Order: sequence, then C-alpha cells, then structure tokens
Amino acid sequence: MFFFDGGGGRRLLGFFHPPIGVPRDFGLVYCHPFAEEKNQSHVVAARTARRLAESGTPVLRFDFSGCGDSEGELEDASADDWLGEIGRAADLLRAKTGLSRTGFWGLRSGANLAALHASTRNDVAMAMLWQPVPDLKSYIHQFLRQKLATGIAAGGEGGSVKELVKRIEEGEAVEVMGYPVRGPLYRSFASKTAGPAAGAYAFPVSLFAFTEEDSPPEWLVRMAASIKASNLPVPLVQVREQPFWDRYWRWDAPAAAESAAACVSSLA
Amino acid sequence: MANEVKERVRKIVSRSIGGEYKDKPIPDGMKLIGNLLDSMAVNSLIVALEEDFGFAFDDEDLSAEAFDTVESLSELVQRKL
Repeated sequence: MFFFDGGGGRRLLGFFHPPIGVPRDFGLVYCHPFAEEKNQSHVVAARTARRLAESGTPVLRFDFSGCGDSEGELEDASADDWLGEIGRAADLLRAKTGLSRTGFWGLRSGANLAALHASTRNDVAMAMLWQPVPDLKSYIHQFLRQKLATGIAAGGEGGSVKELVKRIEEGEAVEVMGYPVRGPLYRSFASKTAGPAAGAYAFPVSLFAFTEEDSPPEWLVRMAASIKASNLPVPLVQVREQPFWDRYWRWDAPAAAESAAACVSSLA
Repeated sequence: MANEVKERVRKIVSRSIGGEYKDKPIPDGMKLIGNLLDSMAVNSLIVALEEDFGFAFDDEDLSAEAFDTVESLSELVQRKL
C-alpha cells in the first residue's frame, strides 16, 4: 500500500499486486465503482486482483480522488479528474513492472471510466468491463434517485430527480446516502451520454454479466453486440453470481475471480 | 398476463431483499415498506424492475404507496408496460 501523485496536488492510495511466477506481458489497472458500490465490492475486487496476480498478471488498484483513502473531497471531484488519474495509475504500473502494455479492468461506473480512458491510448492490451452502466449520465440520475428511495423507504413520497439537479446546478451539494454531489461531479457524469455500446476499440474487450439467472440481462447482450473491438466479436462472460456491489450481505463472489483469470489467460 | 407480471415482480422483490427471502416468495399482502425494504433495497428493486421489464420509472411513479406490497408494485409495473 502506498500513495502516489494523482495530479492537482492530490495523493492517491494505491495497492500493487505483483505477479507470481512467469509474468504476463501486460498488467491491469482496476477502476472501482462509485460510492457505496465501491465499499460493497471491495472484497471481491481485492480477491480477484490477488487471483490475477497468482496467475502472472500484475494488478494496480487505487482509490480515485475524494474516494476511499485518497486525498481530496468528493465535493470537489469530477469524472474528468478520475479519467486523468487512471492514466497516472497506468504510468505507475508500467514503472513498477517495466511492461509496455496495460490492460484496464473496471466495475459498473468504473468499467465505463476504464473504457473511456482506454479508448484514448494506443498501448492497451485489453479491457475487462464488469457490468458497465449503460452510460454515466443515466447512472448519475440513477444515483440521485437513491435519495428518492430513502424517502420512499421512510414511508413518504420520493420527490424528483429534476428538483435535485436544479439544487445542484444552483450550487448546492446534494447528499445521497452520505455522498455529496456537487456541480463538477454531476456535470462530468451528465456530459458522458455515450456508454461502452457506442465504443469502437482497437483492443480486445470482454464484458462480464453477473447473474444467477439462466441468461444475462437483455440490455447487456445488446451492449456486447454493439461494441466494436479490433473487429472481433465482444464476448459476454456470464458469471453465475448475484450482483455483489449493491447488496450489503454479499461479500464474496468466488466465480468472479476465476472467470477474470480465465478471461485474461485467454489473451495470453 | 397480470398474474405472470405479479410472479415476476415477486421474484425480483425476493432477490432485492435477499437474506432469508432470497429464494422464498414474499406472501401476498406482506408489507414491504417499513418491514422488508430499506432505502438501498428500494433502489436495487427500482433498478432491477426497470432492467427486467425494460422500462424506466418516472419520478412521480415512485412512492411508498406503490412499493407497499407485491400487489401494489405489480399494479404499478402493469401500468408501465
């Protein structure tokens, strides 16, 4: 565990998983999801990173500024800052391993950020996108809606997302489940209306769906079908686990780590 | 059709609540709000219903009354289909 320069005078907390045995010719940077989804997925992400390192893939995990133990306040953060921080994490991984290519792995909104960042580089080995959200604009509205859910759970009316957005645009920080959303954060998400489905990537992409149902959700099937990656079809890997990022009784998803290791190995 | 929707809703509610109800159907009439659903479960449930049925709730659809029981929720879903 260490701190590294995340830009803007902020130090970010990083965690490096060195490869065991013969190292692969690329490492992975992990991009965590937003808010409570980060906390609830932490164990699965850490275990998966360890599993990947055991099979020769170095992994760098880090906390975005204003999140976890990194410096900065969420009230000042933006998705655009986080995209830059992914680049700094990739630079650090290259310096630690001496490997010239980098892969990107992310969960939910972290997967969208990983894909957005990866699409700007020409040294990308792969992207492993774990159940990305359709796009960051709808995601931030869905996140704000949690405040409405709190009202409903308390037995009242939900209110409206439109009203919350108006308050944010007027300069207020709207707190949702303890996470303050201010203008820069809201606008940086809301401006990203294109999700991975609209992407054309020059490197292999794997999409992961987590469900115990017989088939993956239809919208993820459609997303996989519409992504263009190195002119190759994008595999949709179905992991037979319940979603673990939004349910506080789920702290493990053993099939996730095994599926990730198999996915990365398939590119060796 | 109405019955089919209700059973799908019942299954999604069970999954969203989890714990002892993960594989157990929620009985008709059982109160969800103030009993089984906290705010995180309400949000998971909203997202799960939207993804499963392929529509988006409007803000005005979302109220404690609509989320009161499996039946009231099924009625809301049927109106959205």
